Amino acid sequence: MGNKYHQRLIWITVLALIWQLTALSGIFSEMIFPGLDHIFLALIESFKDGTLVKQIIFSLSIIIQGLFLATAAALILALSSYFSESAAGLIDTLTALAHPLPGIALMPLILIWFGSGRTAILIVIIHSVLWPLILNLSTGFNSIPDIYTLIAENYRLNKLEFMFKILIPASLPYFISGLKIAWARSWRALISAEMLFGAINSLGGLGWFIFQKRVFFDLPGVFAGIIVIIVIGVTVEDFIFKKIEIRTVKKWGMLK
Amino acid sequence: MNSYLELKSINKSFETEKRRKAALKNINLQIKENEFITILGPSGCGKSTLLKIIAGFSRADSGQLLKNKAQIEKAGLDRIMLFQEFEQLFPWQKVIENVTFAVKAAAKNKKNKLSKAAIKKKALKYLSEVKLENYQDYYPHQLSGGMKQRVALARTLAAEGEIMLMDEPFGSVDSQTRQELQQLLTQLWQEEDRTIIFVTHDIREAVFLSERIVLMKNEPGEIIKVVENKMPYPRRLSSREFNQLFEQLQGQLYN
Ligand SMILES: Nc1ncnc2c1ncn2[C@@H]1O[C@H](COP(=O)(O)OP(=O)(O)O)[C@@H](O)[C@H]1O
Ligand SMILES: [Mg+2]
Repeated sequence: MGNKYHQRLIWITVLALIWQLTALSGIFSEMIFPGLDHIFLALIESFKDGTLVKQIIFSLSIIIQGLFLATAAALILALSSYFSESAAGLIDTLTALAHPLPGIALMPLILIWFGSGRTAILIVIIHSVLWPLILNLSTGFNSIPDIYTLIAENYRLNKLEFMFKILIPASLPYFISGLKIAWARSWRALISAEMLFGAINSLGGLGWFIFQKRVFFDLPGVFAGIIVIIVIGVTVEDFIFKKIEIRTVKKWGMLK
Repeated sequence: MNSYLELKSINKSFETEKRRKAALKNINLQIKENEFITILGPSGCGKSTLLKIIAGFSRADSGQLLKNKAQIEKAGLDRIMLFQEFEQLFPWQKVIENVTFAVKAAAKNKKNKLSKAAIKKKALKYLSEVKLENYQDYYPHQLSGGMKQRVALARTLAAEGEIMLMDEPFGSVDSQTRQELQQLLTQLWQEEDRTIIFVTHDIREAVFLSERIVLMKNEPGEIIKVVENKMPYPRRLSSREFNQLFEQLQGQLYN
């Protein structure tokens, strides 16, 4: 564990050094290959004037809302398909059709139907999260040991108790890995949607932020935005989800 | 005749690829209240199938299953099953929570309102009966196989059903631990009013545990004989009586 981050740190340092040497060597113009000093200055500048923080908050608030709505919907749909065969048929069909469809392909339609505001971005996120989450949850529900359903029958649990006391905790490893996929997909979807949908009152999120920087040919600014996107992505994947796993499925011995 | 649980002409078969295979054929059995009875037979003779029918997990093709003369329709807390598999415990719950699960279910079933403290107290009582009160905050994966089965036994006891159904519950633990668990079970049974139907393929286990032994055979699953076992508890594996009965049963099973 510690070793992994240690290695990562070493490699990041090496890569940063190579980058900086390339920039200093003057092979490429400073305009298209800025040095790290310029990039960090741009990063600090954008944080100082508050623009970047506003965009980060905007992006994160949409993605959290999207994840929350999609998770709730996925739970309801996966549970319905667990308990009802006809619901399973419908949900299975919808998932099979919608899952392979990239969110980008939906954007023209969403623009026409919902305009380009927050709702549009939210729909793109929900689309990118809902289907993989349903797939994972359903797999999880269907792979709980048979013995659990016998126990539920024996101890006369009603459906609700069975759901919350057995079905959901028993499939938590699948739930969490579904959420990880959901996060990764929605973070990508969010950034592209923001670029496409633009901003209202100069509030368009991180995707819009780097897009704007490109328009003004502010390459250090573009890189500053990219760094923020990477840092947030990695933090959530490596720290938040790790923490959740350590506190649940790892602690319970359900995940090696 | 004080027949408490009655099985009348129970038949059960399963559809396999080629044919219908009879798993149980004409099973007739009367079980007395607070009796400790074992069902003994080779693997595949239908012991688990029979226990699942009594539990209400599956239905017989024909025949009757009566408790106090009333037909048993479905699974319930009056007949709690203890399985062989370690995974019967919920890994996401601590040992104590696995037991309170049964206490809560039983209370709800009897429409009793119990306080949190009362639930915990009851669960702890059963945990201490299986001598695991010091492990209440462990998670199942931190326990040995024998300890897991003791927790499962505590949970079964905590449901406070009249009848406990046990499907080779000690089949997956080492022989030393198995003997400890057998001893514990006979002690607990003597202290409390419970009917135990215990399935095993281990003759010594049957002789050690029960007052009556139902012998079954394979193909089709049928009862050969019901043998009384009047040896006083606690029984000793080394006693002459024990070994006589052991040999008698061995002869009857494998002839
Ligand atoms: N669900 C099932 N489907 C098909 N065959 C079954 C099923 N359950 C049990 N059997 C068959 O019924 C017979 C008795 O099985 P079982 O009751 O598990 O035996 P035992 O517990 O005595 O080892 C076996 O031949 C087994 O293959
Ligand atoms: Mg069996």
